[in-house]
Amino acid sequence: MTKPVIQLSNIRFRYSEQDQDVLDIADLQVYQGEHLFIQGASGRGKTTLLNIITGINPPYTGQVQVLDTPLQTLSSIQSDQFRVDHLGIIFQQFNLLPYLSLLENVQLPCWFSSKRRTQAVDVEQSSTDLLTQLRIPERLFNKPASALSVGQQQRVAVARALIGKPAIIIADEPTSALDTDNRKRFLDLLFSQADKQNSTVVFVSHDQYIAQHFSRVIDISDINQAINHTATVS
Amino acid sequence: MMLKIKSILLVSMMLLLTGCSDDAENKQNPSANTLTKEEMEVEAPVNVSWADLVPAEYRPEKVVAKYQDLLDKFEAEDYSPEAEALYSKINDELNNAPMNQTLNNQHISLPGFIAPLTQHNGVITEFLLVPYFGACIHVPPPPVNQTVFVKVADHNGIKIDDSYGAFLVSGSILLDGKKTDIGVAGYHIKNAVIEPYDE
Amino acid sequence: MKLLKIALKSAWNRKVSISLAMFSIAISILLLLGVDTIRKQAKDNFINTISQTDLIVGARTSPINLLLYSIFHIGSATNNISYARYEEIASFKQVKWSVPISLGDSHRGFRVMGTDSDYFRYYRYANTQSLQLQQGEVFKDVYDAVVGYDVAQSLGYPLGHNIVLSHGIAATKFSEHADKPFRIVGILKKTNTPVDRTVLVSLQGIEAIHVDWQSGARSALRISAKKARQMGLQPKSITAFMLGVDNRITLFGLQRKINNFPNESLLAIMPGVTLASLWQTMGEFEKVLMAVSALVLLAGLIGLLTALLTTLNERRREMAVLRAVGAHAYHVVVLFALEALLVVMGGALLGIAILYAMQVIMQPIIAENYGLFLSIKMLDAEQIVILLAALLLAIILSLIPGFIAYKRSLQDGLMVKI
Repeated sequence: MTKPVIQLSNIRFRYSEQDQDVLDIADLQVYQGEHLFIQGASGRGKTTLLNIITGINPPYTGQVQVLDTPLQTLSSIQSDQFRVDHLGIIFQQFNLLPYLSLLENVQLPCWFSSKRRTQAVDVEQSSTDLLTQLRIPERLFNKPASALSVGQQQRVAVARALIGKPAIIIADEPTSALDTDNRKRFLDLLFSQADKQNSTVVFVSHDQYIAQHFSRVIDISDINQAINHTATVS
Repeated sequence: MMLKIKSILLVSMMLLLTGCSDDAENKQNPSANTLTKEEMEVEAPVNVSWADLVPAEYRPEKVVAKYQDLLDKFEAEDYSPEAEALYSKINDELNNAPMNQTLNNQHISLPGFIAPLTQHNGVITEFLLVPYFGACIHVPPPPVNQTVFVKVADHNGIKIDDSYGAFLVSGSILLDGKKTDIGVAGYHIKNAVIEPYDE
Repeated sequence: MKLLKIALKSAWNRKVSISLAMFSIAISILLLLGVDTIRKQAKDNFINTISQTDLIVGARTSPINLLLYSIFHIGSATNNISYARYEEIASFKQVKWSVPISLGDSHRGFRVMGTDSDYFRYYRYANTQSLQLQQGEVFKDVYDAVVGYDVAQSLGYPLGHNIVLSHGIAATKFSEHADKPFRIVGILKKTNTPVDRTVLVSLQGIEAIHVDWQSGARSALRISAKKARQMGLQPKSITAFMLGVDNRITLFGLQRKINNFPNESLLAIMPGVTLASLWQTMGEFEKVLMAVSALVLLAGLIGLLTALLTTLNERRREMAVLRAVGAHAYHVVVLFALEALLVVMGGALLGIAILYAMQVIMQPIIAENYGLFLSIKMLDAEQIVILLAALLLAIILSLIPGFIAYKRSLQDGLMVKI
């Protein structure tokens, strides 16, 4: 078995104002190329887990290894750089900057990461290719993000997450604002593009009906021991 | 009325001048009136007072003392022509007191106030240095030996905006020996350096 | 710099509130620099108008009034002085030269000044410059006139042109000395002083036009120009005179003597001293103006701060996205600082542009109405310092919203809690 791309060991986390842990995970491993679905009701710590994996909040104890790098030892600046170099992130909504064109939005990670800029080879071309593959009409390429429907905006977010071939795609409830048809289309496109690049997908959602599309499904309550102590996380 | 004014005027001028000299006495060397050859060659300028600009025998107290007997004959409020004439005479003598010759060519420092004469682009290059400023109109203006014509050294001019207040003027003081119809021409400093004066 | 591009585009997205903030900064910069420019120009004007004159003597009034009307032609004399007194003082031993002046008439808005040929010899301005004729010569005949550069230019007068003088300083027809026209025999070179806007005639000329105005108004008994010329025309009074002395140390004594002249109320001023006291007065006023302008700038900057703070909530998502694509937390602070910098720089440039435009427009108007010659100059060192201070202050103020956004972005992480 190859080394996992993400490995969490005995991590515990709480926000500074709280007196109880929000996350307590003994072990989590994600392997390269996997499509991992993490499900759970709101407040169970899914987004907090993503914050840990992406290096935004370090745990106060334990190890977070992403692509062989122990994130908790990185400084804030190094962590930011690592994040853009290796992770593509998709939010639930409002992914795009309203004052940049679609192409510019997609190219954003290449502005901040020379690694991804190099891996994209031709950033301009890469961005148009990705948008085309994600079924965004060309006439919209230079329009501002506000001209798009929600479904289109989310697909542009995927393009941005994919550009420059980052190793891991992180998605935080990206389909919650979409209707059923769009949701299916979104997932198909996400997977096909991610597989083309050999990227791993970590997808978090409370909607268990999507789980069927994924090769691996984890329920957050099964791995987060902190949930046993508290009903919800604020 | 005139007599009363003149008596006030005489007394105030004496007070001012003695006041000046008292101040000065506390600060600088006691024999500034006659500077020795050694003192002349010293680099740092010697501090002088306005009283030093008047030769010893012409100090106001001495001049008035000469006339004391005559003055005693008059009441304070005497308006007679004789009293007028006497005061006039004393005033003239004070006004026309000669220069202190020992100061010629000395490198001195003298504090005073600036009455601008010539300015170039807002910078004063020539001025009259006087012991007091904006004084009440009832007091006569400083006599010739209490006025110094100052020409500023290059790049040492002072802006009009900054010329209010007391200043310490340092340079070589010269007695302009040119005799004019009104007596000796007066004190000049030709290469002055100016700095603000703090008591 | 990509961050700059983001800052620019983000600002453009909020262009309405940004423009308003920029405009308010522009106005405050305009005010600050405008006040500073005018006060410096006014002072320059005053400074360069007269030099080498030891005393100016006129009827008793305030020293500043005497200085203003005699040299700057601003305001009027309270009274005239007798010619006899002038001759008496002019003949004192210590007086080296003297020049009499007579004011009170005008020509189409320009002041008329009666004087003698010594004026051209002894009047100096801007350090040591003396008056130079561009064309023609100094007056000789009773009805000869020499005009200043601006008079000739704006009225289009060539040499030899006839002009009619008016009584008083307004240009109305019913107060004209129409029967006694003057002929322009000389035009002066430009001096950038009030002389440019003056018509110079001889004292005899002034006497001639007033010979039948003795009661203060035109008398029925007309005396023709020709007849007047043959009369004595010895001036009986003048408005003021200028003096130069041999030894300036005696100035105070002479000044006091003139001030105490029996039988006539005179005032003698040393122009340098009076100018310095004018500066003192102006200085206090200037300080107040500058303080007010600084407060206006502060108001403008606080307006900018408000604009930045109110957008903080809107921009939280923007910041989250940027953080997700690799922006560091401190980039957030930099973005706010860049925006503040943009607004203030843009506002400053706009303010400066308006300032220069206004100067160009107002230059002739101010010259005509106030006798002030605005020379349009580049910003001086002091003014650049003011601008830099404004920029610095803006950046410091921007740190407030910047820091708040910074902290929030650290807290928000991937989920913006709105």
